Amino acid sequence: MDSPNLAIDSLDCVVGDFSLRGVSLSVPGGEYHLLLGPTGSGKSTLIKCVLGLLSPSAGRILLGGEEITSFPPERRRLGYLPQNYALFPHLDVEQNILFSLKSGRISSARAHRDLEGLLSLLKIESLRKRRVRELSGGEKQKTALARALLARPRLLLLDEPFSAVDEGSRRSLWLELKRAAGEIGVTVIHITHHLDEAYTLGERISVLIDGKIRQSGSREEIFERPGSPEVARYLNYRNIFAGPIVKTESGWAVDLGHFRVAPPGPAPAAETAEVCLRPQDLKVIREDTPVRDALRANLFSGEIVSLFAFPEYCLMRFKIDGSPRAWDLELKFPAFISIRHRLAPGKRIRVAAWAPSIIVF
Amino acid sequence: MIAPARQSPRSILFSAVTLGATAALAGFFLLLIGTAAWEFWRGSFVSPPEAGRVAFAVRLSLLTATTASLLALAVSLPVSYLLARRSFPGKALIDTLLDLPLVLSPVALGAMLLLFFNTPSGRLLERIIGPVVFEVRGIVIAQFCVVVGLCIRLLKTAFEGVDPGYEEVARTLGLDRAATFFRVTVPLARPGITAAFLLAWARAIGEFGATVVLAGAITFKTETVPVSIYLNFATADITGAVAFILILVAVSLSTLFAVRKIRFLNYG
Repeated sequence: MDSPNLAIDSLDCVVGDFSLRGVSLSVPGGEYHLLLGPTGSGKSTLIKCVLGLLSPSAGRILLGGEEITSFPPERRRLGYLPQNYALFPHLDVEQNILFSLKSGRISSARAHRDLEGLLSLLKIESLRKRRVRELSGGEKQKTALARALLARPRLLLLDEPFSAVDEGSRRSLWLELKRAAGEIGVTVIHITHHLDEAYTLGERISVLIDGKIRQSGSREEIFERPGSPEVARYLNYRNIFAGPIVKTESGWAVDLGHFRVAPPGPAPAAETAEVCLRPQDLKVIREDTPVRDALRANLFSGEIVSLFAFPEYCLMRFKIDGSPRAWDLELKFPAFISIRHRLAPGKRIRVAAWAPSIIVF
Repeated sequence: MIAPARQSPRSILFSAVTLGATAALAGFFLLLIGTAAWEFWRGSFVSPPEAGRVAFAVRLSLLTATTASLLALAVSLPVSYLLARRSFPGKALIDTLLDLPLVLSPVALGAMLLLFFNTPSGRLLERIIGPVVFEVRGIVIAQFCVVVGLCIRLLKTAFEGVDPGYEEVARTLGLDRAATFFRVTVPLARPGITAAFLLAWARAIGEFGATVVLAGAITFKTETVPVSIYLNFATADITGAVAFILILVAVSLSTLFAVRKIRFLNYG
């Protein structure tokens, strides 16, 4: 399948009170691209502009180098999976999948050949004659996917494709969806507001907040090096602090009053800096254990304020000695850590941040 | 054993009023139909209605009502789709204007039509479609004007009930606007469209005011079922009038039942 590049260039689009401003995005052919952002951030608006269902007020959309900004949707050859799948209720599964035949743009022989291939690729052969209303969320999703793929789209746009799938079957379907897209070789833009989904599926991720693309990059870049405090907050990262930059013996630090955070590398050319210590990057260190060099620059003594146990992890709030606040740092670690260190509220411990993991904005 | 909660006198009174009013009204209408049926049974032995005249009126009513409501449906489909899906300057004004025949007295509408067909533009229209005033064409036009507003209203509701998401998907699958309308919107709105047609048809069958002004009440020419009722009453032929009344009651009731059945045919 030919999979051209998609390039969105300074796109503006106004819908009611909401607007997309200066959105630029480029997706190379064959990539599985995640568009991540909170509900109401403009993700659906953006893909509706790409699909031609909404008209942008400025900017250009190019597919394989050809400008398609003013093309009607039926001429763009883009596959679309809307949030509720929009399967036609008056047609059965097979008729839904074959719907693009009605456009007269594809041959019947080819469509029927593709139909067999898609049914077996998505393992839905047995659903052929089923009525749409009898399908489960996952079956609906696969039917809608087959319907979009039968038209051999140049690009596939998925709008929250798992929103109508049961929590329990989601994770296995994530991988199935990605496998199917990979086998066909189609370029995919997948919209979600679920961090886990984006992390598992995205080769590259773009973060859209309040109608603006805040960061585009590989999964590691987004999750390890969020480009701004907004992105970090959206990723649920805590421990974001702003303060003046001070020189120290070993380099520089951000002075936060009762403690200092010392990131590695050269100091930014500014008076102040914002830093983030991801809760999962902070380590609990017993009072009697020696401290490694890489941790020594950011070692904080204090006491545990509270501990929250979740099925897969623990959250701990930690107050640094001399702090005027109720608590300073939030830590996230596997449950066994809590047992190994016999952690409990009120206990005195030390917490350290590994310098290379400190994010500087 | 736990005693059932006692209802306050106020809520007992409230239940009595709602039930009582419903029973009284339904009983009253049943009584009306019963009276007509009794009159017919008693009188048909004395002076049976002329079979030929009844057959003519029924045939004419069926022909004109079917033609008028099909025309109204054909015109309403694009208009109501536009009103349901698009917003444009002056939409509220046009929407209100199209509602006018829904509330305007049919006699007034008929009189306006009669006046119009006496103007140069009216006569030009008559030259194109043939004579209208005091003709069968006049009946169709009068009925059309009365039911088209109803048709637009009902179809607009039917189209608004179709999620635009289906149309969007169809567009991305390669169908242009027109193909999307006929392949997706119309099939999904079909129960509503059928109901709109049936209700418009039933309303057209019963149309009297506008018809009688524009097409007159000419026996064996422009005598539809309601016109017949009027003519028979005017000549004190009660049995004749009642025969036509019962025909209308039967037609109206069966249409309403059919519409209820169709409304249940929901996809989903």
